[in-house]
Amino acid sequence: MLLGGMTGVMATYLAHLNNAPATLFVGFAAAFIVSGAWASISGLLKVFFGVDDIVSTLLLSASAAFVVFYLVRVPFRSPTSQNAAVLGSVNVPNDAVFPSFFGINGVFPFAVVCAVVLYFVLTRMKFGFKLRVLGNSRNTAIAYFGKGTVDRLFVLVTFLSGGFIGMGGMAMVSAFTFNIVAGASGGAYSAGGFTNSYGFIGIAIVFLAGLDPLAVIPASIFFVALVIGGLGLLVLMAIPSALTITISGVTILFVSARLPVMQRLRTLLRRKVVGV
Amino acid sequence: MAFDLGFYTTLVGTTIFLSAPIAFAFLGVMWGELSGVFVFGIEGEMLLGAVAGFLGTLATGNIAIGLGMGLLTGIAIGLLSGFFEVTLGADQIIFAIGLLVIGPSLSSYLYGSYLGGLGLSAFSLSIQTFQNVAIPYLSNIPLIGQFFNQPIIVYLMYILVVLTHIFFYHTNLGLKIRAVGMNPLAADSMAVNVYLVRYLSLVISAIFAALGGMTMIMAQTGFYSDNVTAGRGLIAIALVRVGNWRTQLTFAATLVVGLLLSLVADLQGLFSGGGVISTTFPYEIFATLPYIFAIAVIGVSYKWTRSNQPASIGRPYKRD
Repeated sequence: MLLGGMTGVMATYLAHLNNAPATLFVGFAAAFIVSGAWASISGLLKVFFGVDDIVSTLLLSASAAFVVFYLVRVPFRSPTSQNAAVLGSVNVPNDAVFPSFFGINGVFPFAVVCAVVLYFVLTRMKFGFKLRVLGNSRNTAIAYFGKGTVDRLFVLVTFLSGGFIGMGGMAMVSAFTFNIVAGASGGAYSAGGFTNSYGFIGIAIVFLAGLDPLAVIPASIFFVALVIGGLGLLVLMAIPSALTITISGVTILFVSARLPVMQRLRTLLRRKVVGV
Repeated sequence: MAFDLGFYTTLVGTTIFLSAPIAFAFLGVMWGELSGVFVFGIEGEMLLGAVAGFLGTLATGNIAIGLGMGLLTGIAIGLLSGFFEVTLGADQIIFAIGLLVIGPSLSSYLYGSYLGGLGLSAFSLSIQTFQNVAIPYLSNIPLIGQFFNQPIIVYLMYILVVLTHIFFYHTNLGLKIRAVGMNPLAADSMAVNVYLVRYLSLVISAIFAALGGMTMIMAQTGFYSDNVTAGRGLIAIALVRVGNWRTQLTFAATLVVGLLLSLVADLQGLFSGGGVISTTFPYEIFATLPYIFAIAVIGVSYKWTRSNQPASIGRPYKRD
């Protein structure tokens, strides 16, 4: 996400297009391609070496933070940013700022459209069917589609997922922050950094939504409401915003136990109804 | 930089010194994962332990009480993860992500509110760190002697690494824990209490994580800053894969990463200080070296060796 945002800043800054839609398109496309390529390294590692993808993505995201920090420190540093501990990058040009419709920033409808498109791809198309078979059982997928298809799918999926994550970073940049802030300690995991742990929260949102792209929309609104409420607390009662991220973290802890607890409740209810 | 004996002696000393927190973290990861539970949240556990130890030491002025506070935090986190991951059977990856989100933010909040209560600014507080203790005779050996001229917590690390290895691979109880990790159903039928074993392993794992976080502060920096662990927990997770869940291999890999980190510190000092090349040189490249090393070795080792990964890892056990 950090990398995608950075790429977005770089691309829109370098492109010097005076046309707003073209600038936005270039920014999002660059973010998609670069962070997708970074993420597809883990897919390639899984295909060629059998590396556990959880481990490789953790390591890759940690090292991406260093790359971004370099990019912020040297080539794209804002001229006004001199504090060595927290550096800011250049701002995106005005053309790359997402326009607002009816008081809602255009990023939100854009994300909703993405989710709906993903829903159709995943549930109504052959490609989505293949993906869901692969997700359920790798061996079944190999038996049905062949190992070559499955390997290509792995790389493609990591590319696509990294691409969407990068677009998330670009959305942050083009709608809210307008630049990237990188701390001296690497940035990706520090509280109050650029991404605000949104990448991690995103994984929890997907789990809360039960892997349904349409259910992702209310789930993410729920988490963002937590964060925005935290910002309100920051203003009203001077509670640091780090605490609100903690609260989302605690929510994630409870979300993690959602399925088994629901199952247990369901069995309890059934027992009551049947009277066993 | 002169490449003489003094340079290498310092290098060896720094290597041991920097690998100590990673060694504690990898012990934590091994304790959890050999019993069949993912410990990806170790970075958050380390940060919470670190902030607890730091604030405890700061408030009481006694490093032993601070250490105790950190250990208590570790026990609390271990019990919490035991309740979620063992009793409730929660999704372990999501739980770990929760810890990864909570760790940095809660530690930063606690530190910030403590500072705010005192009305002080950051970086103004530091605690007394552990002093180097030289073991007589052994520390006089050239080069190798640096292993025995370290803070006392590093000696604790040596002892715990050896004890963990003996425990897991040479005792009956360790075999039972590994059996729980491999096949909890079979272990349960052999009258091993799976829930108890996993609870104990998670508590011990969180204690090790807290120790690792406290080592960062009490033996190295002396003051707290946000994100003080700087990815050490992630490296530890990868190192356990590098070492294929074997203590001795993982410890060797830890030393290699410690060497890389100390070289990185040297090189960054050389290049960022405007010494050799100007400040625009991308010295962050060096900081990614441990990650690249870990990914490369994991790739090669997964290809060429039989994986020793606990088979039931990530799946909560439920008695039907």
